[in-house]
Amino acid sequence: MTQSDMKVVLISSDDERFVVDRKVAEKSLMIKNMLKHVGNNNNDDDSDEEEDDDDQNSEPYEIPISSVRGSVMKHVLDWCEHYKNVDFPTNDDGDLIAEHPVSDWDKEFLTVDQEMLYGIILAANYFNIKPLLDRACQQVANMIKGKSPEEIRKTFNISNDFTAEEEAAIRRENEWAEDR
Amino acid sequence: MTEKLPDSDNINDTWAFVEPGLSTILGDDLSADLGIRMYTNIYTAIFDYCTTRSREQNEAGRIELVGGEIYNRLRKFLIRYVQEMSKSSNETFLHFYVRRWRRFIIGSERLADVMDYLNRFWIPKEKAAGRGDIYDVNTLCLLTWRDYVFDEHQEELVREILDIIEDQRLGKAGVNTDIQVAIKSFVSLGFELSDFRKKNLSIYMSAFETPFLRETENFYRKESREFLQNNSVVDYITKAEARLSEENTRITALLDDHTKKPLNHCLNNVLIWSHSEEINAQLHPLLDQVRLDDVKKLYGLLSRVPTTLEPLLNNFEDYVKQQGLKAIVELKAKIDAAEPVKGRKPEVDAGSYIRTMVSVYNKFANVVATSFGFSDYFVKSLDTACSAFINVNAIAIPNPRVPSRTSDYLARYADEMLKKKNDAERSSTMNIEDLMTVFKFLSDKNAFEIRYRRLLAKRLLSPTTNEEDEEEIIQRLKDVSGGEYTHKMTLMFSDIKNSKDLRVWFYETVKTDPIADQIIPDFEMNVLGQNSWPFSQFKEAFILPDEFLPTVQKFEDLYKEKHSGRELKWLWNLCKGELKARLSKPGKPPFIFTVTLFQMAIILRFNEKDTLSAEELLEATGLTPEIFAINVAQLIRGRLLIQSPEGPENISKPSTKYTIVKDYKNKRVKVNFALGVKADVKQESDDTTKEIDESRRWWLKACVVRLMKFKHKLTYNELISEVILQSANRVQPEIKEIKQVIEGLIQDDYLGRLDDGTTLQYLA
Repeated sequence: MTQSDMKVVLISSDDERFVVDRKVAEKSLMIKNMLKHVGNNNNDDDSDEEEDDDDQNSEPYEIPISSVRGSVMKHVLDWCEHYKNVDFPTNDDGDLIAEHPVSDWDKEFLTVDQEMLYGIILAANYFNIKPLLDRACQQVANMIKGKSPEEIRKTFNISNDFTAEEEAAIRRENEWAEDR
Repeated sequence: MTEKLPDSDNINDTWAFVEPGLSTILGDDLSADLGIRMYTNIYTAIFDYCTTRSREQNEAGRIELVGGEIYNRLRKFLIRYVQEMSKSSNETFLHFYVRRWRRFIIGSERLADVMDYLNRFWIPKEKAAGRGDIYDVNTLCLLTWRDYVFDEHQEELVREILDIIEDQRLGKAGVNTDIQVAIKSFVSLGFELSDFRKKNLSIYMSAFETPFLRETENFYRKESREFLQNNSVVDYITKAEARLSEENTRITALLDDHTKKPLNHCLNNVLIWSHSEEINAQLHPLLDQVRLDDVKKLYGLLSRVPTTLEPLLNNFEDYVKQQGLKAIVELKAKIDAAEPVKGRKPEVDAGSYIRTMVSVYNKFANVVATSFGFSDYFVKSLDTACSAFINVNAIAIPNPRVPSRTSDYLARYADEMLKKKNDAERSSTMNIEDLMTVFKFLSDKNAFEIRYRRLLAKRLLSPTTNEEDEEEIIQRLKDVSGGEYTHKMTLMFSDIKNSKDLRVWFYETVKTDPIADQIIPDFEMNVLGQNSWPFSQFKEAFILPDEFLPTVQKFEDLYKEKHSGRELKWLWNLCKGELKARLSKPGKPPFIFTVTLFQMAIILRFNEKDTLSAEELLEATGLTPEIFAINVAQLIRGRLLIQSPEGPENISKPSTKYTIVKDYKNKRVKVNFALGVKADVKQESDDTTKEIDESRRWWLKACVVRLMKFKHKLTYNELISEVILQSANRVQPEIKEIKQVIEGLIQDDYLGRLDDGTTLQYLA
């Protein structure tokens, strides 16, 4: 069994088990790094890594993910499955080098209710899946774009805690940015 | 299923939860496995703490990323961790250092990944805000190691490494991977201050490279000195080469590439440069013993340090020059010691002289090829040395103040070679290659040209010469010295060829002439250009025998008709002919006499009378008594004429009688009386010297004019040194001569002297 067709089991906070290809799970840098380190012996010497891998390969890794619910996990893993063969190269600072345009598939994928969208953002952050995090945040930004403060408050269910004077002052300060 | 994660809002809880795992990650004495659970727990605890606390607003009402608390605790933890590492009692410090370092660098990468959330958000934010003392987790680990392990034990560690290297050099220790790892760690611990993600060699260089180079130098200074006290230089060379290759293997295996240059510099300095005098001094003894392989080794070692090669080159040059001079002194001694032949002391023959010089050249050309790998510098050295002994040696300049005679010998060498009929005999003792070898080094090539041309002229006019070789030599002289150098010689060849055509044309033309029967049928006239041929005009009196008059007259007339404006002058002194003499016994074939034209004029008179007086002969031929004497002498010696009274003092006396021997006896049918008629040798040699002097003056004059025309202004001294430079290999002028030429040109208004008195100017 090679590394690529190895299976990994992810267990959500509500104990749902997701069996996926290691390759799919490794869309998460967090998982990828972890799998790189665990299974290596902690001994002082550079021990024979392959031997250890063989031991581990007999049983798929079980990884408890207490921060992500099953419903969100399923969504995130769908994304990983879809992009499992795509590389997203990053620079030294971990930023994506090429901006991948948000595809129709992504738009469709991210057309979910707000709660799910935030769940995806938090999970992408936890798993360290940079392209997904960027796209999800872009989706949120799109929800803000072109809207008045009142509309935004409505969209995100935010109560207005400014006094009328405060609000007028802020509007004056930012007058230059207004569309005319 | 999961351990209970800590309260994500509480730093103490969170840290207490995380800390025990960190030792496992970095490597502790328990050697516990880093399991998935531990990894996810720590990762999640840190994630939860940072995300939860970051969501809270601070007093200013702003949301801030948190992480500082974790970072500070981590930093303290790391310091404590490395300080608590302890060496086993039976372990060297080096081994301990390497053992822990190997584990530590794996651990710090793991730690960096477990603390990824800190690395991703809090640390970059702090750094962006200008906190220069915040590092990513991996760098923080390495810096902690540097400050608390490396810095504190640096001296002990480097001492142990250097001791092992010294043991290796002494053959007391074998391969040691620990030093390799330790040295690599120095590179990992050097950080670029402007960007901590980049490494530099600052630590490696200051902590290790500098002391390493110092100890290397000390070690080899001592070793090489001691070795040379007890061993030969040749053994030292082998030893030094072995050391150099050994040290370079060490660089590849252990050290950073950066050390390659300073280490080799250090080794070259201590192993080669500081002993270069001793090494250099071995060249002559090794050459004496023809140990070319050892010379090659010597050169190989010294060529690593180019500055040591110059003395070697000079050394080699001196040696070759000495050997050349010595060979010639020996040749001269041998000839001087030889028994006189026929009462005359034997003279240096051109063949032995040239062969001696060529053999020295060949010997050392072989050394240059075998030992010095055809290095351009050594080729040049060899050439310089050969130029020196070939032009100036005991035979070329037997007494001071005479020009080198090598050009003379070389011209004679060529002449002898070309006159030999047998190819096999010739190639074994004389050949064109050797001729060209010496020619290349000749400093007065102009003198050679003049001497060679004089001899060539004679060869061209005699049928014996080998045309193919003649042409090859001209071509090769041209290759070396240019077309201008061989121009005159080439003209001579075409004169000879044109003369052949001319004769064909002449006989074709006179066939139908009314006086055709009076034309001598095989009259071999050659028309030679005065400028290229080295013959001076024949100015003495001579009455051409009537037998020749119609032919000569007709030829002159027809030639002038064909080439109006050209003047023909006859060189009667160079003419030879054959006579059929019916002086033999009846029934035997007539004798064929080869005679000079003058002898012919004399003998022809005996067709009329058997006895003639000198007075009658002088009147009939118009010859001067001197020329008459030279020509008649051979006829007397050959017993064709009987002189009465005898004796050389009576030869030209008007009353002396000459009688032709009617029953001439000779075993051979062909008799050559012309052979003994030698032209005035002294006169010819004077002419040659004069021509060489003149040609040199012309050369210098042309050289000065050419230079001044090009440069317009030059100081007197600049001009002189330029002239000397340009004259190299063509003429060997003395400064006095150059000055005379310059003064002459000033008088003739070609050059002017400027007011400063030292600058000369070209006047168009």
